[in-house]
Amino acid sequence: MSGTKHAFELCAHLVNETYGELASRIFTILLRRGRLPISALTKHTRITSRALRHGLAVLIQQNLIYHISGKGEPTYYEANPDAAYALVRSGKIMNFIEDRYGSLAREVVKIILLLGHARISDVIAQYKSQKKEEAKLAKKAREEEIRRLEEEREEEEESEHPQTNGTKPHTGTNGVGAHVSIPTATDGQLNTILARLCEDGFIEKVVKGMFQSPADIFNQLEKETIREQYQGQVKGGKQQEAVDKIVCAEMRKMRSHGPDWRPQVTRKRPANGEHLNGNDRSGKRRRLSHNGFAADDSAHNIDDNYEDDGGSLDPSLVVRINHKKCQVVLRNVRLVELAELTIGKTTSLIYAVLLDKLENQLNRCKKDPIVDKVDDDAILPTISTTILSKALEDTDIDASDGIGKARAVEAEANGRNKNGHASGDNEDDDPFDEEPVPARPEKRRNLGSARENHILYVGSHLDLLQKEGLIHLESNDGQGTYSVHFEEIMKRIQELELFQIIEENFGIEGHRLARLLHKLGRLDEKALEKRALMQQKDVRTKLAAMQLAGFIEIQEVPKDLANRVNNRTIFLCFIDIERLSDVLLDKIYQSMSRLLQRLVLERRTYTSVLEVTERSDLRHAAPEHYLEPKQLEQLKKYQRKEELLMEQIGRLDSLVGIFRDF
Amino acid sequence: MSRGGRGKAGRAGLRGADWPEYDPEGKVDGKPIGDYPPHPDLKRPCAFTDDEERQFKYYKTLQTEVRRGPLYTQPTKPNLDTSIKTYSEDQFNKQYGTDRKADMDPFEGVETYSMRYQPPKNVIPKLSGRPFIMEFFPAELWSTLEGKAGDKVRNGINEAMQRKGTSSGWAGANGKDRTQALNDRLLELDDDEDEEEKEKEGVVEDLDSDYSDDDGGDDYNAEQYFDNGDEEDDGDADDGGGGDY
Repeated sequence: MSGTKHAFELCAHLVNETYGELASRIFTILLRRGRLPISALTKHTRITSRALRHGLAVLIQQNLIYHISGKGEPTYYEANPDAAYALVRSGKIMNFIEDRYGSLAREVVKIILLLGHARISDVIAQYKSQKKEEAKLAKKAREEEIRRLEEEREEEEESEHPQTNGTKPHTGTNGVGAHVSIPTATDGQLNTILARLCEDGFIEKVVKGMFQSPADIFNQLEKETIREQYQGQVKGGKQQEAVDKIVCAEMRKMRSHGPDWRPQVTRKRPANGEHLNGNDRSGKRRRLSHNGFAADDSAHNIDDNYEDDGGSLDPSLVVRINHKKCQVVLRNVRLVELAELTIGKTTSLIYAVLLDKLENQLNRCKKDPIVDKVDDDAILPTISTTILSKALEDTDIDASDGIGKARAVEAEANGRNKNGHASGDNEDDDPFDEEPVPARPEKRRNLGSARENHILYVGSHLDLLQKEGLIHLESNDGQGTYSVHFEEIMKRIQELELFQIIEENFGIEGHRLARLLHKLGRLDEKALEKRALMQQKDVRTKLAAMQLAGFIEIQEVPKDLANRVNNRTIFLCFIDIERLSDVLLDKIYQSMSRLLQRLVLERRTYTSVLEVTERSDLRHAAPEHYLEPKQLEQLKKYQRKEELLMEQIGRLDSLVGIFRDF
Repeated sequence: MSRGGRGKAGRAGLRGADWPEYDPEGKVDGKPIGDYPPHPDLKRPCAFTDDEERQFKYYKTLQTEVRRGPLYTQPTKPNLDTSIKTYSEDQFNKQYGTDRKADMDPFEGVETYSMRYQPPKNVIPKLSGRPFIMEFFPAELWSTLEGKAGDKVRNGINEAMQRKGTSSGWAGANGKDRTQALNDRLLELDDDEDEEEKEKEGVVEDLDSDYSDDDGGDDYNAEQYFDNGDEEDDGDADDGGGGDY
């Protein structure tokens, strides 16, 4: 994260939002002052030593600060702004985890986020205690409900309205009859889901090195290498380069600690169980994506989709969320959006599957500036058409769609009607929904040709993607092997976003001028007029406005160096996309931090109502039952504001993703 | 008509200047502009998608859980005397309230029965409720994490109090010396909190902050537990308002 003032401010506000004032104060000072030992921190924060130690412990638990202690030196603490920024993404992470693995996985991830880093056994214990708490609250709520209904009934009996009297008690008893049960997953289910998340890299094993800043580790390793292999001193650039290379390789080895935990997952299932498991997963994914909010029904999910495959992780394994890997998934969302924008829905769905398949070969979006300093050409992950089309068969995407009419007609002529390939909905994978019997033999008969066709369709979608530059043909194995050049595409998305912002701010003319300048480089005002087909007056006002806002810059080139006179100077306009995105990023940080400040202010305004809802004796009840109408209105108002502010922050965050992380 | 004529006469004096027609009956629009006048070019963002709403929902649930958890520290009352702008570290530190008890709101802060249902406010995070993995923390924080940091001092205080209770009871010269020694040790060592011993803890905390400027009074002297208000007044005058009188 770049060290601008607004970025730091934002980080401090985010820490304040999540871990409160004490943590935020310490974090701010660490951001301002760089690394400090406790003694200096007490001086600068003016917090008592005891509180300071407690605050530091919280920050370390949540991975928000690094620490390093040498022999005979005090321990130094250093802020980790990237981790602080990641706090804002927690909602997004939980959302896509739910889409992929269901609500139990989301709850598990939530607990890990809550705990910062934790042992597997602690995660499970926390889950159980939360469920117990929930059950207690639900029971309380139920009792309250019964009491309320009884009161109502009594009132009605007193007032003697025969009609309502007849119906109300009925619903009342219905409510009483329902048993309160909070669906709780077993240890096995939790273990399975944790193992799955581990395998896919969304949670990672925590090692000691993660609590030291990468720069520190680098320096330490460098020192060691020089001492051991170069007798204490390095001569010349060449040797330095060699040292860097050794250190980077070492650090990369430390980073790919991934396989360490793998042997600890012990599976008791037969070999084909794994396969079944895989199928089940894709099925669930489909269902979730179709039902959207319906997926919330956690009871349904736990019963249906989470089987205990007997695998278990070492309970003392310490895990945390791997934000780098999560960024990969969030980036894929943007890429798919771009594909949909430029090509079409079906192609974008196929692109999504392709990216999904590439995802397990990618651990991060961008190269680490320290670890990947010496870069020996990293190999881009690839995928072949055959593998992709096989993967597509498990989904309900109709590959014949979206590539021109002739193909679709052809497909129908081949006896592969739209339903043949599980288009539309999720009926196909529902085991309880038996398909009509006569449909089957026909399907089987056409299987061979259908598969060939399918590959063809997929191939033509890939062609489309390739023409748009979204994928690159690497070789011809497996009917074409493709890779994705992420950096190029992200650059394109950045430009798209930037020009969209320009268009919104300066209208279509401003947009036109900016794009011209981007395409043609530095231009004189006269040349610009001619190419933009605009009048001098309009060009001038637009350029002036854009220059004032910092979107366009002007370079002066004197014709005569000796005397710089205005009328003998050429003024060249240009647009610097890279600088512009930096400026924009800073502005985004600023507006995010302003939104957070506003949220704090709103919270302070509505304190009186919010305090009531936080009361321990009312936690189980719905606010509608105990608040006065006026208070309820206030609460609703606050909630609406909070939602608006936070969702806007979420939007800005996806922009930050585009301009910084992806 | 006549007004027009006068105007003309006036205008003749200043050649070239063009005065707008003066209208004595015109009313000035005295309405103040609102605090937030309508934005001239406000663009509303498009509606939020289901995905975004769900993201917010999950974020919110996590946030509530963190806030109810032991590691969150509630904001103190902002210090209204300081400027809103915080450029320097000094200004930054000053914007936070220092003493929660002193910041009590006299109108709403009086304790009522229902207040016992309010969630406890953490001044410092409670570390006893969470399991920590020691090897990931620097050694100097271990005692804090275990909650053992203040044990030695606390035991010392307990012993001292017991001894005082049994022995003479009156604060002689000896007693004063002993307290002084204890305080010195207190200042050196760190102290920590244990939930059961919160009350005693409170005493320790006060010691920490008070004795640096006061010349060690004997708080542990049971006889002076309810002190006559004089001393306190003096202290207050010294602290803040002294200069004003």
